Amino acid sequence: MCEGCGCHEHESIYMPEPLTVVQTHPMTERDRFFEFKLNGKDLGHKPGQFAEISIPGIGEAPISVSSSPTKKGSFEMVIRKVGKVTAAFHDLKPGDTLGVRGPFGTHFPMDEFKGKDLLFFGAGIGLVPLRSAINYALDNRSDYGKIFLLCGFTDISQRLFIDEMESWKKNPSLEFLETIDRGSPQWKGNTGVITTLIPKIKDRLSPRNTKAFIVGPPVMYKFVILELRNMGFRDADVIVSLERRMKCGVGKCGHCQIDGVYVCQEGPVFTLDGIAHLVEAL
Amino acid sequence: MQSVALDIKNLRKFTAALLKLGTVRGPVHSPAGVVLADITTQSDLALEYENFKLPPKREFFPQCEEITRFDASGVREVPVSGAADVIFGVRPCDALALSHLDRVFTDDKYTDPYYSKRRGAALLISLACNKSEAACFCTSTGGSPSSKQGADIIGFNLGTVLLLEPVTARGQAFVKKNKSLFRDPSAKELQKREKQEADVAGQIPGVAVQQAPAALSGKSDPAFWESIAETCLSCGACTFLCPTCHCFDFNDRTKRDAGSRLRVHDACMFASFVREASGHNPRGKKGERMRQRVMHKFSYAPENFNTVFCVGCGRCVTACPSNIDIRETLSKVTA
Repeated sequence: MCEGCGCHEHESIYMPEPLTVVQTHPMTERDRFFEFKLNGKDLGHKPGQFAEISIPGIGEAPISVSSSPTKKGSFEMVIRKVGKVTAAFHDLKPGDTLGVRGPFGTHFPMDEFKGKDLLFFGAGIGLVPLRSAINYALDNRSDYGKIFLLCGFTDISQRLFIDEMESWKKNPSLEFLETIDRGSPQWKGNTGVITTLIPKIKDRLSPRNTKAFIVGPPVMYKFVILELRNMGFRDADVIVSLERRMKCGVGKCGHCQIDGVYVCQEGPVFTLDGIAHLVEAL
Repeated sequence: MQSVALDIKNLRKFTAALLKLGTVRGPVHSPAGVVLADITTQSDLALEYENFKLPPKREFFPQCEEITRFDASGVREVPVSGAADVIFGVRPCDALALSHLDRVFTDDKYTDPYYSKRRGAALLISLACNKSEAACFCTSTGGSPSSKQGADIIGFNLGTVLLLEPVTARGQAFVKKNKSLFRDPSAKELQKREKQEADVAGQIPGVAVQQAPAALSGKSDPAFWESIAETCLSCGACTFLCPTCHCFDFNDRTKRDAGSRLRVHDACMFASFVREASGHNPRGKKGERMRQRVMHKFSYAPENFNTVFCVGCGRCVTACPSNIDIRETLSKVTA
């Protein structure tokens, strides 16, 4: 029941639902993987959406869903320990309960992209939300043309989903390339920023029939977009997910605005042509 | 709708009729001047004041409110509290601001239960202004000292008589139910009201608000906004006192094993407002934050709601410790 308005039709938009930790393990020194489940139902998210996760007494934080909706019964997130709330998430153990509101926001419109080639750029923790779209595409493989997945991390200690990346590397139905910005003796692969991977696949890309996805740290967008435009990609075919500090998730609290756009409502997933006019976007 | 007249000598009876509806909040004398507070006796109601220092949005969207409570047994919603049944004496600018907030807190998709329940509970009787204050500019922001939008009834204080004009069906029903308190206004009284309306409106200088949305679309030069924000202390007074500002945050407070999640006012003028946990701050400069506040009110709101989110109450002008004046900012924008 909504105690706020007294009706029985819905709960208050600010009331979290109980969520249980199924399993959790560290991915890096600061990133931790979580599998969560709701009481007898799915989160009902689409690839690219986020949810507000909270621990009573500590606080609430907007976190991207990392698993594809094709995975039923539970969903996955990766949470970086950067503050008070996320540090408390890192202390959670299997069986612990917390709260969730959502899912919120726009999604990667995977249905509209049927028949297209897909080019994913996932850098750092940007791979986390992007993974929901990657795995959605792989689970519906026949719906799409060629799939290219380019991943980048700052150094070897920051690599996420190491086992899954290994399986993508071996998977013949996509072309997977990885790079790290700063090499080290143990690293035998590519070094350099993510754009250095583009020449390796360039001759197999058809910009007019490809949807490009970019999720990563703020600085990366500018450079990847520049390369894509030079190759002839149209802005309407470039999909970005933008991060802001979404607090309420329902378009009221003002924290996530990029100019007049509420990222929690009209984003976080945007096409590049949709945000070209926004001064604060990139 | 047809106005009715209340002789001031019957003001106590009128107050008694309001009190029959439940909790009544209205203008009350206090050491800090006239404030919007609970009316408990028939003699509490003050009629001589300019405007409340604090915006009446706080009646519906308090500075701090509990939204959930938790302990070892789980999390529970907190029923809405503090809803008034009548709010009397809100000035027309602030009533207009409430009609703007209605659209924020209840949109096509999500209804804020706390705001909307309080708003729905209260019969809102606004009081037209008998004089303007130095920083008033409501006539430039789509309002006037006697605009009705947002109120159920608007009152006009003519000295010995209070004219009441119902604006909504709810206001009409109240007047009808208490018709024994009222009489028909005389032609002279109606003329006096009209003259008063025109006189007060005539005192208020014009500000370049209507030209602002178009002018702002070309104002993205960071240097311009840095020059406006140069003396800003990032104190947030302008936002807390603004009757249309509605940004909020959630904070959890605990004591031993129990606690609550609070919804509190927040301000886009604070450096931490959009700062992310990683340290990344998309709006790290004062000028960028100033741009956001001005754009939100005079560009984004017109785009999203077809109206500026400023009602010309002048509170931000009066309260700013470094004398940043939105009227001057707008004239620079439109110059």
